[in-house]
Amino acid sequence: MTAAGPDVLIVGAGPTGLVTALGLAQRGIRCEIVDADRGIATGSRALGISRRTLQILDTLGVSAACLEKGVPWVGSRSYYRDQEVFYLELPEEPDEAFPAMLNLAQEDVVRILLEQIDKTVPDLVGIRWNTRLESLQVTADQVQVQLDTLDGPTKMTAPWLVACDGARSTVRERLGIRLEGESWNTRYVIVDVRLHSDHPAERRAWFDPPSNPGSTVLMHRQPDDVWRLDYQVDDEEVDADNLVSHVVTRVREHLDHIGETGPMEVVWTSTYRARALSAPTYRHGRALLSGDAAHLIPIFGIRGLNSAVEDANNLSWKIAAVIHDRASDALLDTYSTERRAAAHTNLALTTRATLLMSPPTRGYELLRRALLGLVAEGHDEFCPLLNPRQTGTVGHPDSVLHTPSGSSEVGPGIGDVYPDARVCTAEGERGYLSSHLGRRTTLVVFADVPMPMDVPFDVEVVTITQKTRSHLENRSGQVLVDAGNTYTRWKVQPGDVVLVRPDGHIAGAWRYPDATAVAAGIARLQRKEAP
Amino acid sequence: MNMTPDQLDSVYITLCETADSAGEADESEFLTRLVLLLALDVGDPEVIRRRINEARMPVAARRTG
Repeated sequence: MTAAGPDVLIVGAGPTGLVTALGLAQRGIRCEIVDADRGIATGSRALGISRRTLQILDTLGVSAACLEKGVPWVGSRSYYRDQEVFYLELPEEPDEAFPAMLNLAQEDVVRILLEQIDKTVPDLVGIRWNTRLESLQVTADQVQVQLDTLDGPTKMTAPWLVACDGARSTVRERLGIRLEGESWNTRYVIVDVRLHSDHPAERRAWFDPPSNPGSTVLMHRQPDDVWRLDYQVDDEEVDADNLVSHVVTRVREHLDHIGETGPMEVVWTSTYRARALSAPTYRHGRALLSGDAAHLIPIFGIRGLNSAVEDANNLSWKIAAVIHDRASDALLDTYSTERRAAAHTNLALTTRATLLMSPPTRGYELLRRALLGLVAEGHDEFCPLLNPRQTGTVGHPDSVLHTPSGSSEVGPGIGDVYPDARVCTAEGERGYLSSHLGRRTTLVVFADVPMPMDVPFDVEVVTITQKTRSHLENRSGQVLVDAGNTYTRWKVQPGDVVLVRPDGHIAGAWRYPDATAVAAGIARLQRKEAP
Repeated sequence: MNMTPDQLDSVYITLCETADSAGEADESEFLTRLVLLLALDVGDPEVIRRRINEARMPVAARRTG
């Protein structure tokens, strides 16, 4: 295996590992994935796929399969005791290619990713099930692992290792890395039931409902008439032996209370305690931590799987650039700093959601009771405190890879993900910008700036014009015509140039720049000296 | 209400934390002192009376025992 070994060894064949592998393979990198399980881990895990995750999955060619199977939703409804107190509906966004939220079981995401690997890059990605990582040594030029397989122990070496082995990561443990942060004692039961219901797909939260006094209950629609419920339980109330009977009673009571009297069947149960933890750094030489192996994000913000996919999307282009010798390995330090900062923000947001779901102390309990009572009596001024804030992605405003915008406010925020928009191709085909960006380093040129043709760098150029393409016929790169609000959404005017990273984040923006300024911005992004 | 959602959130969390640090025995006194101080800031007896009325627990929601 060593002679023709992989460029990158990935530990864990969950969503994080598979998105990493596809991202690397698209850039010609050979990966080997090892996983201790026999095959796809079944049972309910992550559920909500964000718009940002769908954009990333689109760059891997699997967004259509996810949309076909998943259930989109836009509404969020909160109840206090027996009264509805708050309803939030995300506005329709015709300029976005993807819905704000899609409910799709984690095992379906994994199955779709595995099929895509099989179909598109079987020669570049190997997967070994029933293969447990026992130990690893990280040296200056490689990582060596000892694996336990059905045929006995074996060894493998690779220049790089990515740990995508989840909350109880063996890699993290063997490297002696400890997670830091907060844990809460409140226990939740997570349960999937099969139930036929005509209720629309939306997030529903019941605080102190008559069916489960003192508790908080959440309910979400999944594909195929399966519903996810989460509810809070007292510690002494539930143990492994009575979990299922407890669930049957409590869920039945709740369904009766909300008028769902049809038959229901419990298909999966588990218990959960919220933890908000992160490793102090996500890079240890040639080993990198990603997804739950790097950080544990409370489930209530729907940011666990989504931030893991963003980790993978951040990491794969950087590892590929280092392996292809297009960047120094210092680029990988920015993976750790950028994604740790993002995890910090995600943890703050989801911690806030957790404190509302299950007040940990008397003070939080008192304030929440007062808040819900006031909202129930019509004090809508307090509704923002009930907003679950589950949508939206986290940018990297402070990254060293970016060129600060200085005093001129050109373009979207530096470090943010580019805004999607409606465009037409040169052939007149209507579509979205997200079909073109977030794959390679791309200079987006607005209208007719002559400069980028002379930029001596290996980057894509996409020109977006507001008029017709006739006057741009001899220009290099792709020409797109704005078919919606691209200029408004990007906050640009003709003459602006925006540098978009391979992961879709904005690295620089200029107004009527000269080639030197843009070249310096590209060099900064690629961690190279400007020529 | 002219606080932004983030400011409102920050005030809410500060109240949770301070109620906790006051401790169960002194919680009511802390909250009452806070109300008296805020009343000075409001400065309008009519507004304060209206808010007192709104803050009174509806009979149905009162905890018994």
